[in-house]
Amino acid sequence: MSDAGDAAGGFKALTDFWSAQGAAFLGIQQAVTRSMTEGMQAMFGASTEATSSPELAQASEAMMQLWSAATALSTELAGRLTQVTDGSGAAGEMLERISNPRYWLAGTPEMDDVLARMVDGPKLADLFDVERRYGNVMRRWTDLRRSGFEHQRVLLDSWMQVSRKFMTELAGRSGMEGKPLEAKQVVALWTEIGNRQMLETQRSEAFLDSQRNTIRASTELRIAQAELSEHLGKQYGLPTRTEIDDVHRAMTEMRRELRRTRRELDALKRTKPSTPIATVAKLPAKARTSPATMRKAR
Amino acid sequence: MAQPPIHAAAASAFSGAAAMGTKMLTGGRLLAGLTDADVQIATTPKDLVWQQDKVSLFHYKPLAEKRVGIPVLLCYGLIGRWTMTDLQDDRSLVRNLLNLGIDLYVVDWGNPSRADRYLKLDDYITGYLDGCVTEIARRAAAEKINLLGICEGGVFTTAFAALFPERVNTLTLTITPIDFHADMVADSEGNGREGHGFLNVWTRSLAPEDIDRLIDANGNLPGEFMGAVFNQMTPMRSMMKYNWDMLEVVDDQKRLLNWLRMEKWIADRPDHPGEAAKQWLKDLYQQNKLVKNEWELDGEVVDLGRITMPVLNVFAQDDHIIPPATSRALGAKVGSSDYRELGLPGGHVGVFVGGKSQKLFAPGVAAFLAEYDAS
Repeated sequence: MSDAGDAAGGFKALTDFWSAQGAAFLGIQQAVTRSMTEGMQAMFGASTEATSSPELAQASEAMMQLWSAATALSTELAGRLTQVTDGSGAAGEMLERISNPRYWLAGTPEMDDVLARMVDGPKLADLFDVERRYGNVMRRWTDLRRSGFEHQRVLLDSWMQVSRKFMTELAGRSGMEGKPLEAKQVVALWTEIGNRQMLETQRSEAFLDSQRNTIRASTELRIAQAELSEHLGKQYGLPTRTEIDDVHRAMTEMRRELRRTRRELDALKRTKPSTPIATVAKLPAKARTSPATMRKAR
Repeated sequence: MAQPPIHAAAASAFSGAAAMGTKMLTGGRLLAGLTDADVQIATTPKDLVWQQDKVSLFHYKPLAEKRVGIPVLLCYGLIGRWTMTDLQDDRSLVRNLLNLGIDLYVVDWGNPSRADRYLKLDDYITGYLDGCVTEIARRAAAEKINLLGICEGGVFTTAFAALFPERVNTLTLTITPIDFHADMVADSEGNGREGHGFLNVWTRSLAPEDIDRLIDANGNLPGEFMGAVFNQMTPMRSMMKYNWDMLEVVDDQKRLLNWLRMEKWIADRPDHPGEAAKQWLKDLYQQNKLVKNEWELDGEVVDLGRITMPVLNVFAQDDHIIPPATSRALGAKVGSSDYRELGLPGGHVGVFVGGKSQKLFAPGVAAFLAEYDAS
């Protein structure tokens, strides 16, 4: 092939490459929109059907409104990213993470996942004969969902602030450089702005209050679950958590006492090698247990 | 400004994509070839010399001629594990100390389960730690030993030294909180900077009853829960570590193994016994009793003024978990006539594995110990 032919072939290859990259990023953008729509359905659909609690409905409504605003912002952000960076290769996934608030919610409140796992107890749907306790569990579950919405609202609000700052910063940088930014630069910028904002958010009263409320709600749910399972356990003659705890408490106290007794014996042996062990039993109770006495003995 | 020719930009992008592809391919091959045995941590040889309940005391085999006769007990806390001090051969405080002729022991608190929920810090300090000190002193035929406490373990050794000063030759502390409210004071040395001391802020945001209920509901303070709190302190890093950060090292075997060893340590988060966690979070983080000389163990006040032995307080200059001011508060409280500080570059974990700090850390400790070695 001639040089001109090589050049034409090369140019076509490059054009194809760019077209493919553009299509890939558009695909990402579409995926983000789809993902957010599904997310909204998953987050709000099930919960509003599951309960008629007005507080939960209110929290859910507030969250839905914020989510709609975040969806619009996400679309704008994804479009902006398409303009200023090539979005090539493996960096595509990171760019998707930047433009999709679901990752922000899923990544930063790891605590929510942990709390959810901590309250994952027995499946209680078939326990129809313990309505009162079951009702308590449901009420606690509703409280947890509501506090979860409120906490996520704080986080989503934080993501929107980051996105706006990020777009402003991005516009300035891409304008100055006059060429597409590398994905690495874009991710670094997002990380810097995101970190700063998140650290500020985490120290805010809104964040600390909503996380504390979520911890409280998950704790109360777990306790309600435990009470229900204890009730059932008693009916079937199974050992309950409380009974096992009692055994553990007694064992810990006995071990504690044993350690003290051993230390006292050792101390006596060091100070009075000929003292019969039986003498220890004759010591006053205070002398047998006081750390101050032990130190003197040493 | 003139736009670059489109084919130049495209070629650059194409080359970047190709390089990324090669990196992923190499990384994939490396990861596929690794087994758990390749990612071992805490491998420095040692012998089990004493055990009580779940607590084990190990004695390290010497790696050099003994230069300090009085043995040292390395004491980590219940949050995380001591294996951080011996992550790998070239990033190991343990090896560095052994190579400097230190006779070294380490206590492992085991894996507390729900059965251990009623263990208190009293049990760990005046019980198990006392047992370790007694055993080491017996083996060395010494009346006193040297204590080297780390983080929560530093609080254990501080309390032990205050309660039993006659049994402690020297006290070395590393990244140890003493004044749990000192994070609120911004100073010229970086205390109060962005993100530092979040753990203190977070704990204070809870009511004491929240902590009681949390522990009562779960029995212990789950290690996973504490891990999540720690991850909140570096939010973006936590969000990106398994894709972006790992991508940086995935095609370099040495860096990948270093990264995986650290991950292995992070993943090993034992649960914190419940009653002990209540004391840790309420008595110390919330009510700040230690620095006020109001903390009681076994009915005895922990009076920092009774710490009369030489003290070396090592802190990390960029520690976001234990801000330096929270450690350095000890200086004004001890009764010792020789209180020293060693500020090291790096953060809470970096102080153990960072190249710069490693050059200063073990030699600084060894020199201090040698100065007070009466054996």
